[in-house]
Amino acid sequence: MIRVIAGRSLESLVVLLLMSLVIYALIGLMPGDPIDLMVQGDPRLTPADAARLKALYGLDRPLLERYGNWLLAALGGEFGYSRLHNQPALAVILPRLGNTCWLMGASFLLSLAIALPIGVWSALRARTGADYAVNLAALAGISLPTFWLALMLITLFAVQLQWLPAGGLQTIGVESVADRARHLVLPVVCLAVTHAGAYTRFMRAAMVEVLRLDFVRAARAKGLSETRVLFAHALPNALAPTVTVVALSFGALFSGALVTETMFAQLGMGKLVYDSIMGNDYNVALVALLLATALTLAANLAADVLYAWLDPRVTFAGRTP
Amino acid sequence: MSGRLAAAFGGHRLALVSAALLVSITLAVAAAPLLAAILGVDPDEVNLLARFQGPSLAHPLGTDELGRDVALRLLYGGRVSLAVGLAAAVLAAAFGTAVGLVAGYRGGLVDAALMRLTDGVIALPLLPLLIVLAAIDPAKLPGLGWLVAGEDASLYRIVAIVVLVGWTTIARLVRGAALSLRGRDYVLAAESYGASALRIMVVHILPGVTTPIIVATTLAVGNVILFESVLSFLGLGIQPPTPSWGNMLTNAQELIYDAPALVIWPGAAIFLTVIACNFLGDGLQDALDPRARRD
Amino acid sequence: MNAPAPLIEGRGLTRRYPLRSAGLFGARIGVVPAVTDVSISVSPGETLALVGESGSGKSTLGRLLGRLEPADSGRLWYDGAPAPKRDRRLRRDVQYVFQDPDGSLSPRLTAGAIIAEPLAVLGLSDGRARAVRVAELLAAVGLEPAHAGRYPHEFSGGQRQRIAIARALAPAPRVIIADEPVSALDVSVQGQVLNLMADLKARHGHAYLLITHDLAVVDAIADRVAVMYFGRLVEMGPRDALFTRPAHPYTRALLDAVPRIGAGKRQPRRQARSEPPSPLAPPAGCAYHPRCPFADAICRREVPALTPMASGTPGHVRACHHAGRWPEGLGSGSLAGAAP
Repeated sequence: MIRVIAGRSLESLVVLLLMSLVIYALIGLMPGDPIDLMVQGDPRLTPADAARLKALYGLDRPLLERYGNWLLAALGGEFGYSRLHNQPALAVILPRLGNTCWLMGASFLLSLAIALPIGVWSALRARTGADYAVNLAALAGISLPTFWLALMLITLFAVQLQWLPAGGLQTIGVESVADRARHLVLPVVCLAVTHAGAYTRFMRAAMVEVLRLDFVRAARAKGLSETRVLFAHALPNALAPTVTVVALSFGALFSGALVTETMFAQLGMGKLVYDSIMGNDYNVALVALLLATALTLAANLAADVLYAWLDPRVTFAGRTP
Repeated sequence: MSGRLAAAFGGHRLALVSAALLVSITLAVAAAPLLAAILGVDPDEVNLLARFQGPSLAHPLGTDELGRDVALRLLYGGRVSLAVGLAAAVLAAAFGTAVGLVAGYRGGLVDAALMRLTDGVIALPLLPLLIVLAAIDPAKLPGLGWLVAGEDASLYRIVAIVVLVGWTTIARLVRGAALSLRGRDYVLAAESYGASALRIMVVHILPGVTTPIIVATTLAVGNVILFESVLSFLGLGIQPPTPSWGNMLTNAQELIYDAPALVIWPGAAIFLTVIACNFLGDGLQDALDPRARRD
Repeated sequence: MNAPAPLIEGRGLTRRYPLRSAGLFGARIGVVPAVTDVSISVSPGETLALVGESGSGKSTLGRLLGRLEPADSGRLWYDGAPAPKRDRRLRRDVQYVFQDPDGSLSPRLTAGAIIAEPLAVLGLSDGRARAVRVAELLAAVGLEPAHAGRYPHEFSGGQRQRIAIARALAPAPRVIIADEPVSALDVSVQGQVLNLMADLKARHGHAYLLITHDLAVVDAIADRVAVMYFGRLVEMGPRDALFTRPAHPYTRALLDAVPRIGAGKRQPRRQARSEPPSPLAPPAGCAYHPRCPFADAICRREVPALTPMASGTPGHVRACHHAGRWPEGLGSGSLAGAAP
């Protein structure tokens, strides 16, 4: 088991390495380059100066060589400077990571708190009106454009009712947990609503699948109470696949966080990715994207491990059919 | 008893309603130029004297911040959003089908390599990647100059970008099906008289995997519309003045105070279209593949 | 052997299957020998029956000869010369009929398209001529030309096997390899399909390699019989000689196991002693020795070679250390009943 986890981790590292090359190449394809931006910002620089600067920073070297140099520096903990913030890229990113964790963590828990009970409840009433109503609501959640929901929430709760702030991390000059929390309410609800639908459908499908199995019928036939059948026998087995799919959808949650942070002016990783790409802040964009990729890969890895841990029948060898 | 009745109603009725809704939307957006001609309104015509008008006979949904007719722009935006959704979903399905067929039929190392690639793409955070892809300058890529030329450039670009990352679901589905079909005797029979790999994949294996492809493509149309709208909203997708449901909302955030109605319509159009695609996909799954019934 | 120039011939064919643990990169945990060092040939116009119990390697041998899969070692000869790796002529001249017509016909193609496909792939006829040929073939296997537009699920099992036979017949092959062609069919239909196969051969003159476990089928249409046990040929010879004077204990056991209706006084059955050996742990020496009533030290040590019988029919060979030494008459009374 340990060996297999090590193997899968290694695999994820290889994917991450490949992605770093891809992302590095893509960032290089973004309009303009750092020196052009410098030249634009300083009229005294001549094209000859620009060429000299490019040579100095190695920007005239082939892509793979530049990538190799960047990778060596990165492995040494050197990720370059942020153009927009005049700080080392990591110093810009790390505080944002914390903010994103709060947003994503809270939304994740909220959406699970909504999805798991409703999913189970719906599975127990499979093919009834209630079940279809749940499915309708779940699909509605999936189909809601996150940014539009954000706009609607802002319009209703911030503009019309004025109950909650429209954006930002906190009221300027106010340092209190309650104030931070008030600012988190709308973003968290927005992100949770757009993900709870998918989670509900996962939970329901897994539960329906399990309720059909013989051991559940056997448990009922033994005369166990319905509650016991449900919580001691069916639910644990249905949770394993659900947890896996939910962990696998981490990438989607991050995408949602990007939009949510942008809409509610939350200074998190998602907004940073967007801002740095829009603002040609190459070093920050590169590291932020890689960090997002690494987190997603880690979540996928966790999904695999969790699944094996929750479902003792699964051997890792049989994972890929 | 009433639960059963509701269930019977719930099953395919919603899929049928969704199909009808999608057909109506398609017909309406297709008829947009006709409507514009009949009404004598130009959807791109700016009239600063008629900004933020409420609903009237001339402008059923009012006018926007530049005095343009909202209803008509909604229809024209729908043309773009639907066309992008359909084109990208179908192209992604075609690409994913090709990858899945090759991986499933060839097996071995080819399969392992292709599926690692698929897993890798699935594992990525999509939206940040789409943003990078949308932000890159195609002029820096050799041979892609045509992507930047012409007024439909942003349209082609967004389709290309979505296809680039959107093929994975279908690739996995098709690969799984192809893997189970390639051991069938009819495939072996075709191999025995020397049918080419391409022929076997297209003639013998592909017909057996159409159901998952149709279902997944239907669902993908909705997803693509969502991605297109968010990219356009963020200013990276369809570029104004070409309207799309996404970029119609770009300015909406500042307009929340002045004209909240402008925020509602394009979003509602996206929402309705996407949910209809999802219901239709669900219904098709039930109808075409009895084993995967939702029960 | 009996015919001067064999049509297809396998020399020393060997095929092993690696056994892997589950998973994509499962570890190789063993090797299952499916076919070991088999030399066999099919002559023009003959029907050679390949018999043996399931797992004996007869289907694998058929696939090797039909080049549906590659041999690990050994060579395939075709028409008196080593067969090249990719040969259109071979693809055309060797056709295949599978056991289960449900699985061997593409479910989404019409009967006409199924029969026409080899013609298209091999570039044998096109357009109008192909449609005519398809109608001809349908008629030849006892179906209506109108059936060309129907899908496989619209036919009965016997009719589907007729379509499969028509497909095999389409490129006018010189040999048809038929793997259990009737065992998936209702007993009442089996005879009809066998008769059809015999009729077609009489008309077209192709050879059959008939793979079967059913000795009644062998009896009905085979000219020669080859018996396989555990991946090797143990006996081969003309049908009548082999049925009346089986020279390998395993052949005897096979013939003994055929139930006969109305056999007045039954001989006591010599039951096989045990189950076939595990393919993962093949017995040393003669693979049959754990089940053989005559086995002794040499059988446990050495693999017997195929050798002609001292006083047998020409072409009758067997692989047994003790052939001729065990009582020849043993059980022949009941065996005679198996032959016509």
